[in-house]
Amino acid sequence: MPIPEVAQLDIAKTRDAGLAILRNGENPFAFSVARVGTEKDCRDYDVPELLDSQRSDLRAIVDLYRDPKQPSRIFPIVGDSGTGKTHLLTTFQGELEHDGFEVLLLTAEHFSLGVDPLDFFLWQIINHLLAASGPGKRMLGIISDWLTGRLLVEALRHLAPNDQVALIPPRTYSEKIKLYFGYRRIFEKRLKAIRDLSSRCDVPVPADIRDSCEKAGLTPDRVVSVIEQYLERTESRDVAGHLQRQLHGRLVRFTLKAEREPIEDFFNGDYRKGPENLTDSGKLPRRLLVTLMGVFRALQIPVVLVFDQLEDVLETHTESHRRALQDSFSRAVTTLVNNVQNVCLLIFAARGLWNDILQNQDAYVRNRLEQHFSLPGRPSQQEITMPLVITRSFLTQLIQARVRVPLREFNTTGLSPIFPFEEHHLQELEKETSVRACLRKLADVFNRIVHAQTPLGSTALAATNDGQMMAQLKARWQTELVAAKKLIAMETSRPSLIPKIQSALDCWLTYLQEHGITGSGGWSKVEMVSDAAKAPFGYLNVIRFETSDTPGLGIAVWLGERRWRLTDLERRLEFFDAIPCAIQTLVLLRRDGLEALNGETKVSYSRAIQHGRDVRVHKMEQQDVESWMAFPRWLVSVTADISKEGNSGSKVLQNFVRALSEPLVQCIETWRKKEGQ
Amino acid sequence: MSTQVIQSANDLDIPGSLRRRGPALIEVLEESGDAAPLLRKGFVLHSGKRYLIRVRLQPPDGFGCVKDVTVSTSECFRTIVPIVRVEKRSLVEYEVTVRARHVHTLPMANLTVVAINLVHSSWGVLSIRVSMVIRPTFWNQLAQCWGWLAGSTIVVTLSQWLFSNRAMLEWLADPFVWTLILGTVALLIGFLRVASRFTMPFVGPDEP
Repeated sequence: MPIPEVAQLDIAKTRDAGLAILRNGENPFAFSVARVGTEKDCRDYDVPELLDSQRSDLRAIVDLYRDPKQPSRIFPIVGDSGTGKTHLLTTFQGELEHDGFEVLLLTAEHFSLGVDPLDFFLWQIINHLLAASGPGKRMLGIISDWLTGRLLVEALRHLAPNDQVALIPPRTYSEKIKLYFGYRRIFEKRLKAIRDLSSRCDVPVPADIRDSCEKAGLTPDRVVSVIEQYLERTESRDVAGHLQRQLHGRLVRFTLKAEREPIEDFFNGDYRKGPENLTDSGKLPRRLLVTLMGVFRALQIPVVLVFDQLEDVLETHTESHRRALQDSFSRAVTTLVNNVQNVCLLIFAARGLWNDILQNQDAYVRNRLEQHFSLPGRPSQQEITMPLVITRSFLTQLIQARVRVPLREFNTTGLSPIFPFEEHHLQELEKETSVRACLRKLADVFNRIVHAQTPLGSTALAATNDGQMMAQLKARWQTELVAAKKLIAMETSRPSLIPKIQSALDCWLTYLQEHGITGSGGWSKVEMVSDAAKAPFGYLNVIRFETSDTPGLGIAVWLGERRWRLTDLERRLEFFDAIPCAIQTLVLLRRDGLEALNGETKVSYSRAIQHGRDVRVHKMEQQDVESWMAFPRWLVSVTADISKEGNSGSKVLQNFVRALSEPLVQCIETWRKKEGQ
Repeated sequence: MSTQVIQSANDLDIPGSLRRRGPALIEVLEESGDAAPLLRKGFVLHSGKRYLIRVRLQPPDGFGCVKDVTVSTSECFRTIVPIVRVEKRSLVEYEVTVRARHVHTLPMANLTVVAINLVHSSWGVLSIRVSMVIRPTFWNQLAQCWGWLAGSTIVVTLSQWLFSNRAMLEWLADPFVWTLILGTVALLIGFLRVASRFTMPFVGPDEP
């Protein structure tokens, strides 16, 4: 029987060639945790069959929020750790972008105890829109373009045809003469240009508005003035009307004149400036929230607030603090849905944590968290559940999706669909309930088959001695540093990043205080003080040294590379006037150090020093900011694995953090001493 | 956690500037179906001719739609066919047929305004004022020009004759004579005012 032998020989050759290609590449099963920067991997390795039902539920939910009268509601997406919740969110985001379905998707990364839910929500929106790059920057462009198109069309429609024609200024002297003497053709041409402009802007997604205006013969200045006059005529004279005029006017300038600074200044505090009735009225942040929601409603852009990995968002180190944070979170989301119309809340949580939250709430909160929702054509449900069973078909597709990328154009004819794995490997995997566990096992088996490596164990951190554990911690730290670098690169120099950095620093300082890594003297309390009225400049890390009530050291981060604005400095200095005053010393961190002080900021700084205030400007490095941002995620990712190692693991972790924190603790030691000591 | 309910019926509304209330299109068409010429001061209409004023509405959105349209005109227009709602596939239009009338005694164009009122189901009335220029017909203009020319010539000749004759000046000093002259002028003006309301028999098509 020569023919089968030849065929078998060919298959063996193909298999060897395939293994050789796989050997030269990366292990495709090593990627098992979706995070910042892994969007492409999520798309490439997605197996639609597994999460199709959940994705279609999410799509149906978000579709509901195109209706401006849809009430706010909480939609929990619950599943065990590693079942693909973050992957689901990432691929869902990609699907929305691919289909051109615009959604304001806000991902909350931190939640502080006692925070006002409405202020929290407002700043989530503002920080997202003011991001220097990524989806936030894109969304600001979309909102301002759509809004400008809508306002321009309505402004033109509120004018009589002869007034519309008069908007286009004559370009040449002959045109001027023809217009004066009423040359009919020239009027007809202008009316057609205006009607073409209206039809180009009156579509759900208007084309380049600036270009359309120029084609119609309208300069950006002229269009801005037409829209401002229209806003003056149509908006009321009360506080809401003033905020709308300001917001719309600045967004129009952003689209037509590419002026970004006015809109940034507006969100960073200029919304408080205005006529007397505005400055005298209270709750301006809330009024601003209503104004912003009105814009999204009018443009039919659904507003979705996402809490991804709730266990990370509510991460803390003490049991009592954890319980308080969970209670605060539950009440906050309940308050949000009760008070703000048209907001969709998606909460991605681990099953255990979600059940824990539900059990500890009173009936009022629980009823809102557990409320059934109904989607068109589907039975009502209480939550979206992640898949509980890993099927054979899914495993086959998973392997094919992952192996396809390194093999690319290699002809796999004759090889098993689960190449390079064998049937018995899949039988073992069918017992698993989470995709991540399957991937980790597949990564090990892949190493064995492709690289002929001996198994390391079920987790990467199952190290047998402290040295190995330390090496693993260091490797994870490097990975998180890279992720933080990417995140900062996207948002560099933006005030919107300040709350995130201060929260991350708070996490680090809290860990240091709880584990006694405080240098020569102890710390009584570490906290993050926030004042919503000061916008992103209202966050301050405070370390109290003597007792938990005495004023301590305040640390404020300012990332700007432009001229330091006086209002920003003054907002930070106002913390000295707060009652009760939380700080004795204020350290202001800037990339350019004392050079940042010039002109009026220098005068204000000198005045503060003369008044006996201990204010210091300290130069910080880029890698400091990256480390602070990396720390919370790194801590969460290693804590679970370290806890399996018992006391020895905790000690290794503490030693690692001690070494890592040495420069930070030294700085705090210096700041603790009085000036001149 | 202290927070205050900020939601009210008004919060579900959208800002005044983003409300879709304006008409999608305003057209003034001649009987032939061509658009009436548009100049700096408005649409140019000719006295005695029929015109169709058409208002096209925007499609309804989630906040309602324009439920009625009215057109208010001045004495320069006479309504021939009252306003009607016309639905063409998804488009909704309102049309009114009017006849333009020149009401000046002077041989110059009339400037007038047509108010188009759009009644929205949620947000009340929006009024847009469209300027119109009504020109008298050529014969009307010519007749008026001749009339004014003849009148001015008579006045100038008469005044020259009066001021050159001493006896006539004395006669003019009599108050009775002045009363007679002023009365005649007033009667003449009254006659012209009444006469201008009627279209001359050789101008434009007949009244229906």
